[in-house]
Amino acid sequence: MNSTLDLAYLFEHAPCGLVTTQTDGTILRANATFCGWLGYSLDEIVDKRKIQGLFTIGGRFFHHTHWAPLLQLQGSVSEVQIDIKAKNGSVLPMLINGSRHQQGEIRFDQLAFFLATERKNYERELITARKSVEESLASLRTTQEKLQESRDMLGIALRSARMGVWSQNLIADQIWWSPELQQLTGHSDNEYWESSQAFYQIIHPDDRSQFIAEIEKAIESKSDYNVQFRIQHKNDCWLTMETRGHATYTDEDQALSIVGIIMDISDRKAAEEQLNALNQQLSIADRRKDEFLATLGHELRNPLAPICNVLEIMRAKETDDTFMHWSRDMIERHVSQLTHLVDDLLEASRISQGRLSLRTEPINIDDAVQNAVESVQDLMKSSEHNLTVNKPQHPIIIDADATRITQIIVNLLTNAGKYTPKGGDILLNVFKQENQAIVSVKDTGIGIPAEQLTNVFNMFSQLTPALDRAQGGLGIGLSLVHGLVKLHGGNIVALSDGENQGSEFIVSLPIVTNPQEALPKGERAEDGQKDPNIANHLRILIIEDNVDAAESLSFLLEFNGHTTRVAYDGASGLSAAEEFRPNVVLLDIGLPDLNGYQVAGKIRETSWGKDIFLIAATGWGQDKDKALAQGAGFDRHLVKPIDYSELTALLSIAVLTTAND
Amino acid sequence: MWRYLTPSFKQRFKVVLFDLVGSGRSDLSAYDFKKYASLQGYAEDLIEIIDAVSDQPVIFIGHSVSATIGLLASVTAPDKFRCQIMVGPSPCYINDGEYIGGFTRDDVEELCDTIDSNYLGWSSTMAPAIMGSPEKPELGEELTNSFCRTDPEIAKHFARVTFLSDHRDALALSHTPTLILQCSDDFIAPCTVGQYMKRAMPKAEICIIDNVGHCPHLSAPDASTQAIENYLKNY
Repeated sequence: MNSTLDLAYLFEHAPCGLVTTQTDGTILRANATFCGWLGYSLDEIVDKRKIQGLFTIGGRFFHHTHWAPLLQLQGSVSEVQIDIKAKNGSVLPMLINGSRHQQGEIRFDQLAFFLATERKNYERELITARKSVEESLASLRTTQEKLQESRDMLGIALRSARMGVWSQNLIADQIWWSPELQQLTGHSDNEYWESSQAFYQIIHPDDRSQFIAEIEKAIESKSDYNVQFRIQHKNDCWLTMETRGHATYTDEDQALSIVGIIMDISDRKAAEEQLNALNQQLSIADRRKDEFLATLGHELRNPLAPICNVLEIMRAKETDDTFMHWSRDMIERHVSQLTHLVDDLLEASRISQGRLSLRTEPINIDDAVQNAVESVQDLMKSSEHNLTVNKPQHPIIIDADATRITQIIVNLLTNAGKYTPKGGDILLNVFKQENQAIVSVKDTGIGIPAEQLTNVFNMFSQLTPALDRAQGGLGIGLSLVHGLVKLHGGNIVALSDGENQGSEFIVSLPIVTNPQEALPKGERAEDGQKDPNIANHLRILIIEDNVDAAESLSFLLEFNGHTTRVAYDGASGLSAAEEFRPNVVLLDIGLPDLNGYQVAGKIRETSWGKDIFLIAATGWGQDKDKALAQGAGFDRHLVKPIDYSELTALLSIAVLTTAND
Repeated sequence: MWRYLTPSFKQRFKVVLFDLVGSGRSDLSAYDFKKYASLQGYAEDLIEIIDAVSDQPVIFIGHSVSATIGLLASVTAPDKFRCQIMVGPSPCYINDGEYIGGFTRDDVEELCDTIDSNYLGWSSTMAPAIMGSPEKPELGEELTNSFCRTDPEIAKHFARVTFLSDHRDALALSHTPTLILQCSDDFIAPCTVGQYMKRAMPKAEICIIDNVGHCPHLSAPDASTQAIENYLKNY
């Protein structure tokens, strides 16, 4: 065997690429294996190409920065991984070992190339695997960071809401408290809460059983629990807590644990209590105000009674004295106005006390309008206002208290007159709109500033402006109108374009949807059917501590043909009754010794007193008083100051009653 | 990296060597991807280093991308530079019209991909290289530290910032006396680049060193030293 031949063969067909280059990389020799891998013929590369020229750009960089300097410095490189571009453009990963040699003056490099496709693939997989691990780790880290962040946020939220989280492992009877809860209660030492017994120990004894029961109930019924309890802070003070949560269960419905939040509601509780106390004070104050107004009305009414009586007598005694005429008319006007004001005040306070009840029935609103217009006729005339009334063409039936509807319209018209300069126009429109009866009172008066529009219906709303306005008032009239409209289930709004632009009040009242069934009643049987003459011969006992009121009334009744007696207190009233045996007793409730109810009771107890017609006279005029009066045996009830015509009407009933006997 | 040159200059100069942040023995955690998204970030570091080591203008010697960093610093703070030696510099690696940077944009993309996919190969080749030179282990270690960027993300980022940079505009703005050490056969910074720079810079001289490769200070240390010494005679 020729060893020279064998060596040449071995060189050409070695299982690796073998290349010899000059130190600048110029290829001097290359074996067949190398040429075969790359697809070049020997002629194409020897002396023509530098080895780095066959590398990819990355490979050339590596050659430049690592390979060449290393070869220069240490004379060899090994296992350098570089990609080579084959002639057809495909890229072959190679592992290269190289060494620098010198023979005489000639320096050259010998390079061995190994195909590293598998290794490269493997490395690529490794890189991919590493990347994916790195990405997973990064994502895990991000998730953990986010989780921590939300935990921190939750912690902040819990702390600032003074909340904490707790859970109880029902199997192991172990309780866990979140750090927030430990902070809240000061119990960072778990001996005070880790077992349920320890936990219950710091719950207030009065709340303990309820706490346990509520939790058990929630477990039982698989529902949420919500229980308030007090817990003892480490510093011994009590915190009021509220806890909410529910139980968790196994698939077999065995309760596993309780989870929930506990929040410190001590502040809320304290605030609630404070608010309650304030509310109570406020409602007491409000009630006192209402009582004050009612008392005020009563006190104002008393002196009005005798004045009214005297005026009534004066009217009966015709005189030619023009001065007397003039004085009487003037006093009458003012007394009437004063009475009206006091009535409004009393009724407004009655509404705010919820003590006013309506006597509703289907009525034609036109009648109320008619009455109202009549009663303001004189006022309109004297203030030179031009009142225009537009009434509906067809009857509008509403379910209402006729007196009150008249009162509403009168008050609105009076109000318009009050705030409209002399000679101004007042327009009353009544019409139907959908299922509402609309009453609109429009004037050309001083108007209402926009900011006042909303509270114009509040009592006392006029108080401040009244100081600088001659026509000022307490605002009772509008407040009363508002209250009455509301009682009727209606609504009222005030409109005005501003100062001196006039104003308009629009009342809407629900109409009766089926008027066929609810036609207004005709005249009521009890009204004005009696012969007034019959009522002129009664024996009437007046028991009243206000001497003026009693005497003036007595005088008036005698003037009209009755026989009267007067007593100024309960005891003398009783003896007077026994002696006088009256048909009618007009009995004041507020007497100095016995009160009117007691006197009435005593009269009823006697043999002679059973059939006496007893009339209570009170300044209160409230439903409660009426009920009391009825309970004490009174037949009827009158509000002071006594309206003489009302009294006359009652007396005619008394005549009927006594006549029946 | 500079071991062949430092002995000659240590006698007469205070020599300060440093690794760019993100490479060699620098603190990798200081690598701020935003700051080092342009070479200006490194130029700021260089100015800080100069301030820290000298109150006089300095001679700055930078290799390759570091030469460009020096160029940017000399534009920003001309007073801090007595002169600069640019070893194998290139203000722009990508061909642009008549400008021959030596690479097409595709080449650069391929290179960056290679760095990405071949990271394992590039870093692991160093270990056998060291073993191949048992008589000079410290040399291998030095090369490893100089060449290997231990963090692949930084390596990738750095390669992109470097090879996609174009600082040709800065050349005319640098009035610092400059020596360009150009290798006769440098694949990374071809002669056309050196000539372009000489023309563009107001105070530049060029010295071509007969050398294949990008690292004349390693492969032709004597010629490199000689060229620098000659130049420094005037400064």
